[in-house]
Amino acid sequence: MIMKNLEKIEKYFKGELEESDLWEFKKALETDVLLKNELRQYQEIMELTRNEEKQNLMALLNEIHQENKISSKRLFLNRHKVSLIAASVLLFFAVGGSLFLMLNRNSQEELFASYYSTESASFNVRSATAGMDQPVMQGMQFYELQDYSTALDMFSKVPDNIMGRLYSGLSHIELGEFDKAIDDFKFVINHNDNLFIDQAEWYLALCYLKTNKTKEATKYFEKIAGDRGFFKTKAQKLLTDLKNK
Amino acid sequence: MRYVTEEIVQGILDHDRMVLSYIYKEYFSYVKKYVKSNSGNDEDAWDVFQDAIGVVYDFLKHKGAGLSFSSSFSTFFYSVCYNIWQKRLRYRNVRRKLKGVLIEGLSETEWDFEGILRYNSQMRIYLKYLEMLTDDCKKTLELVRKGMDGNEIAHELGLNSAQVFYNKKRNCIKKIIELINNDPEYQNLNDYEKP
Repeated sequence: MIMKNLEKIEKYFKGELEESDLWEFKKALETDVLLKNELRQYQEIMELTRNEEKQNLMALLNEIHQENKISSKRLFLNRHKVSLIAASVLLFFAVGGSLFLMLNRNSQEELFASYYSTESASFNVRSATAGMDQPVMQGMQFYELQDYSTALDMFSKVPDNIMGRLYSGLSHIELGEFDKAIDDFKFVINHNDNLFIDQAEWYLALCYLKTNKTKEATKYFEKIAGDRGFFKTKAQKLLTDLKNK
Repeated sequence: MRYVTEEIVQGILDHDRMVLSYIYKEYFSYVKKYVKSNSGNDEDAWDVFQDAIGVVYDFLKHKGAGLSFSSSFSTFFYSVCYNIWQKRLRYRNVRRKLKGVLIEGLSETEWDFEGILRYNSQMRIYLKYLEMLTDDCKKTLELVRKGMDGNEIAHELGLNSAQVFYNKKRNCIKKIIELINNDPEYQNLNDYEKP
């Protein structure tokens, strides 16, 4: 919701409205619910803006919270020192064994990087219908601002919303959480009756590619290449590239 | 170091860092445990804790530092947290039996708990979105917060006139209101007022 009467409201509070305008303004307040609500909200926001005392208290509390979060992490690391060392040794040996696999993986990652591009939410935000769940709207705005964690918090509030789940999957990709992204895309696909199956299949296949599940990835790319969807040509090209690697 | 109730009360009123750290260390883990075992998550618990500190601060300011509790401060603080979380669950439409508890000294006729809670939740939401504004807007609103007048701020920001500042301020206010209006929690805040 955008403030339509902000300039007028500011003038009213600064006492800058001419006598006739002031009379009109006061009269409108009696009948115009939007103006009345905007006036109330402006007053509330200005009161919050000017409350230095409370803002300082909350800032201090936030500092304490952040400090404690950091020290809890340190405490965790100290407590688990032995386990971490053991894990590091295991990792060292695992790395050697994985070198062979990595060569293959690198080529798949290159493919992922050349075919994946961040999906914009701006079209969907603009074209969102009035009935769209508010947390999804909000989540997509955070997605557009590249604040993927907050976007995910919003999407998680409406787990059955198909568009929310699609963008939740895309947010997980941006955060490198491919297994979670796979769950989201599967949910969209299994729902079966929605407009986002094409996108969900494409991104699911890319996630499989990225996580080295070549068989599953190929299955989906072949399906997309055989369909008449938006990603048909891309899928055909990617399959050729995959065979040539 | 442990603090007695009177020291905690004074510490909150004075924004004493040591006292606030003590309250955080002593009580936050319990609030978190309670919220998480009642349909909430870590983030909800932190929101409840912040709102509770804000509400308690307003309550203490209203009552004065000489206030004494017949129960401990922790009982008082937990009952505030409990009531806040119950109200949050209500506006999230969680189907469960909802019951507020009586908070010592907070009789409805004497003190508008709902209104104060609403204000403190608004403050938390406002501060969240303030962080999302440009540095320029943050600076502008910070100078407004300090109570400086238009000409002083224009001078401080190196602007040509107070009018340039007013236009800038209007844009910043417009932006933050737009962000706040899209916040689902903010939209639900009016539900606090429902019986």
